[in-house]
Amino acid sequence: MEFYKNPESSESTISKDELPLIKEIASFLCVQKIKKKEYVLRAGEINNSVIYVKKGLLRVFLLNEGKEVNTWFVKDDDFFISMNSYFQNIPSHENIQAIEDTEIITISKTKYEMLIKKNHKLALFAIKELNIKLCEYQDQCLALRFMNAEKKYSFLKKNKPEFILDISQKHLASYLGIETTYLSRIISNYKE
Amino acid sequence: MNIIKKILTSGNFFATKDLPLIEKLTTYLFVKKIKKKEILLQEGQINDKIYYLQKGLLSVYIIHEGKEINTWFVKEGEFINSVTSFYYETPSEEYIEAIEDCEVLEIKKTTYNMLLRNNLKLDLFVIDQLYINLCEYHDQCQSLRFLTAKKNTNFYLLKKLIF
Repeated sequence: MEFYKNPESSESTISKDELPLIKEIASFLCVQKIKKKEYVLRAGEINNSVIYVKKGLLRVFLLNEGKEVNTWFVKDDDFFISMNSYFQNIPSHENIQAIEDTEIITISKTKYEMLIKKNHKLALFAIKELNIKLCEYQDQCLALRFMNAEKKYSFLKKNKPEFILDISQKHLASYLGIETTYLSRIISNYKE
Repeated sequence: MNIIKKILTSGNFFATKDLPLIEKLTTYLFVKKIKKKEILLQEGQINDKIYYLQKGLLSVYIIHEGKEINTWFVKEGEFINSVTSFYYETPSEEYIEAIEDCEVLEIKKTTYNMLLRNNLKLDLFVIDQLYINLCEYHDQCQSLRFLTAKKNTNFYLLKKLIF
């Protein structure tokens, strides 16, 4: 999906006659092709742009006691920022890496903030997207608090089936906080 | 903290010259006094309001396998809503309860959305508050992943009550 078509979807707060605005925004966007395994952001860097995945798949991971732990996957048509780093201008502790060849669109924080300050529709669009992210974070907190790996897997299967389809077992296991062998067992139990 | 002071001091979206506008916005808020142990939001209810805590202390909890589990504390000068219930209009999984006598300001979602559509400065203020909330959730995910239960409790009490 093209970035500028996204706002035309039925849920959108931006209508078709605002195409000039969309075009202005588009002039600030930067398209980047990221090869599989390349990094979009490394821990220690400051995340100073909003990232949108046009096509492909990114994973977000942290290092904990020497182990990579996946915390988030960013797929087609999703926005992502490394929250604390972006908002507080501090080094990120997250890494963002492509796990497929990926095309991303970025906009720098300064340009984006300049745009929302003069454009009401865009501000409303941002509020909507931030609310959606907030709900995802709340779900993630609930899952971390109350679900074991099996429950998390069946939650994903039910609510985000595309996760299971697109993401390799290795990465999914790291997301669920378990070993790959244990994940295979969960999957085979689930099928029965 | 008084809501007008809060709006003036969080971020740089409103200046003193905007005082008449801020005062107008605050006329859409309703004051609610609730006693200790009173419940502001029940599990199963749709959370169609945003609350601002002017005085007191609130706790947010979930009942899991018969046990109350605190997930959040709300101090004076903070906003609170049950985010998923509020945005998607689904039944809340959380309770919000007063743990002291509280003075709360509330605004209905429909009113809030109407104000957002008509006021860009308010939008910018809200965006800033949403980022603050997102960072809190982000930190909470982090500690749930990596800290042990004991460290966790201490971490929250410290973070929310002292800082």
